[in-house]
Order: sequence, then structure tokens, then C-alpha cells
Amino acid sequence: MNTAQEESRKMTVKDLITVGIFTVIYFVIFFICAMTGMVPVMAIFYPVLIALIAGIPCVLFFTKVQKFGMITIMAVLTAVLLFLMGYGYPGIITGLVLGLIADIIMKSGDYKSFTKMVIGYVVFSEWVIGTQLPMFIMGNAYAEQFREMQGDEFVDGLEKLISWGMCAVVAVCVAVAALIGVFIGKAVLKKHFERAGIV
Amino acid sequence: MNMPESGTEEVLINFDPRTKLLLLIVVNTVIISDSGSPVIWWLKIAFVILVFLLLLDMKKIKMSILYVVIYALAMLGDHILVSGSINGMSMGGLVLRIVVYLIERMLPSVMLAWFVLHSTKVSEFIAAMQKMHLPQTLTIPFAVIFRFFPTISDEYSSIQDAMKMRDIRFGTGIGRGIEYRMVPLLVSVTKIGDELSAAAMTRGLTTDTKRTSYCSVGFHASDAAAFAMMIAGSVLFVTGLIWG
Repeated sequence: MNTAQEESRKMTVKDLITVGIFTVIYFVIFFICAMTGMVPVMAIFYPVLIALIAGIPCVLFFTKVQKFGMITIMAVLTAVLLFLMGYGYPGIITGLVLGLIADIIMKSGDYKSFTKMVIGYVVFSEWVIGTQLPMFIMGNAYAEQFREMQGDEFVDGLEKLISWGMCAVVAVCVAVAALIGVFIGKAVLKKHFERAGIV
Repeated sequence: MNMPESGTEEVLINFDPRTKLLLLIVVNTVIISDSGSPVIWWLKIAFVILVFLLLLDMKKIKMSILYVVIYALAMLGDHILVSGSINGMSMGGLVLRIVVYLIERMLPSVMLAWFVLHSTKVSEFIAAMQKMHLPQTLTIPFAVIFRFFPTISDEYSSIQDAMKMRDIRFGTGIGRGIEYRMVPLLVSVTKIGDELSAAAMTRGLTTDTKRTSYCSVGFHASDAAAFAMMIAGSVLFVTGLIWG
């Protein structure tokens, strides 16, 4: 009995494959949303869009998660892939920390409580801000390096938006969007996946 | 319909998966950087040519020529924008700037990623990761990610076709547009995931014993050359960053 429990706590190959699949889906959504960053406003607010749209795959992912650590691995792998694509390395740190916290929150509900899932997803969604941190830390110097490539209009628009206050606004917007996203995800889960026998 | 499987393309010179990983890291870092330094500009050109040669290595002659031509056109566009003969604020200037920016920053990386995905077998990749003594918790998701990029784009284009047939477009409602694409995609990838886990079991990934591999991965002269090139490139890149 004891060993069986021990076994079920360890991650199986099937779990790891699930992590890999959802990492790819999350990464693709991230990438498409981040493309809207060609517009200055979206360069600041793309995490909001991600939190909203990624709700559907994430809710499906969370219902499939039963082992501790899966969310952390997903967040870190996504951040590493994004780092390779040229996003800031602080994303790896926020991914690790917030992924772990989300894991702990959902673990406390045994990965079955929907309330815990909502809180967990809101916390998890905030990690995306880590990919923006270089911008907020460096301030206008960050925007200036794009002047030649992106043009004056983009840089001036961006400089008006970069401030720590704005970072807080983004964080709040992400939380709200994540909240909406997770309920959309839940609705889609009910409408499609439960009927199809995926969950 | 032909299924684009990863690692099924023939190559003239094969590299170790670890070498390809290093190539990805160094080339992407340089290509994506936004430095005005002339050293880095030349380094970027060298890497663009390197990616061209790698595509030739896969005997993708048409693709490699198309890639170089598109990149050259983007450089021309960049030149026009910088010289100021087109107003960057006008509608045309804005569109041109976005297109040029996307091509210059992303095309080489995308082509290199395509090369890596299509020239490496998944088992080769796993064997190399095991040689690096990475734990299974990282090796397996990485291998899945690796295999899944081609699969997802393939599945997505099939779904896209199906939705076109039913006349469901993004124009008819963005929410519906997302729902009717995301849901079938998620259903099919979870199914593929189940099949993958069954396949993994037959390949003995579930056992705790050390796996042997049929693929021989190891460093050869070509890998040493690539490593030397990447180290030289990194040194130049850092020099360029410091001294401009």
C-alpha cells in the first residue's frame, strides 16, 4: 500500500509527455500574443492577452496534472524556450518561483479544487511579467535601443508607457484577465472536453 | 498527404544534437540583439550565411535561395528606411518597417530551428541529452517539445482547412474563431499525447535502468569546427557589445 502510494506520487513518463505537449501549446499562444507587441501599447500589455487566451489549454492541463512539480516544469521550460527566442532571462526566475507557488497552491487542493485552480492560474499568469522586467528595470534606455529599428513613433510611444506604476497596472490587468480566462477555460472544458471524454 | 516528421531529412554532414543546441543559442542571441556595432553587423551577416549553408547541407536548394533573397530584400528595405527616402510615419513606411523588422530578426532563427527540427531524430536527441546527464524530468518534456512543433503546425493546418470548409473564419467572431480552432487542436494533441506515451513505453522509457541507444552520437570533426566557430562568434559578439 505504502509503496503504491509512493509510486503514484512520482512523475510517470505519461505525465512528462503531458507537460511537454502543453508547454508547446502555451509557447505557441505566448508567441502569437507577443507578436502584437509591434504596437507600443501591446508591448506592455501582451501578458494580459496571454492570460486571457491561455486559460483554455491551462485549465485542461491543470485537470490532467496530478503530480507536484508539473506546473513548475512547464513554466520553466516555456521561459527557457522564450529565452532562446530573445526574451529576458528574468522570465526563467519568475517562471520558476511563480510556477512553484502555483504548484503549491493547487497541491493544497490535491489538484481537484476549482477555487485553488483559479488562484493558482492567476498567480501562474503573473510570471509573464518576468519576460518584460528588463524593460521596466532599464526604463527608457531599453526603449532607445529600438529607435533605429522600430522608428521614433514606436519608441516615443513606448517611453511614455514605461514606469513601475505601469508595471503594477499590468500585474492587476493580468490578474483580472487570468480570472476571466480561467472561467472561459472552465466553460469550454464543460462544453467540449468532458463530453468528448478527454478529461 | 505527406506528414512532416522531424528528423527524416537527409543531410550531407550531420552534427551532434548538442552542437545544434549550441548553434541555436549563439546564433539566436546574435540575430535578435539590437546593437548598432559594426562588428555585430558583420557577425549577423556571417550567421545568416551559415544558416544558408546549413539549409544547403539538407539539400534544400530552392528553400535556401528563397531565404537568402528574402533576407537581402529586407536589408534593402532597412537601408531605404534608414536613408529616409520613405517617410517612416506614413502607412507604407510603417508596414515596411514591421515586415523588415520581422524578417531581419526572425527569419534566420526560424530557418535554423527548422533545420535543427528536421535534421535530428528524436532518439538521437534523447541519446545526446542522456549523455549530458540531464534528468528524465527534463529530457522527456524536451523531446516531446522537439517532436511537437512540426505536429502542431500540421494539425493546425488540417483544422484550418476543415474550418474553411464550414466557413468559420476569424472575421465571423474572434471568440468563435479561437474556440473552433483551439478546441479541436487540444483534442487532437491530447490524443497524440496518449499515443506517444504508449510508444514511449514500448521503447523502454518507463524503466529505471540506463537506456542504450541505437543511434551513435558523438563529436566529430564537423562538431569541433562548429564549436570553434560558435566560440569565436561569441567572443566577437561580446567584444562588439563592449566596444561598440
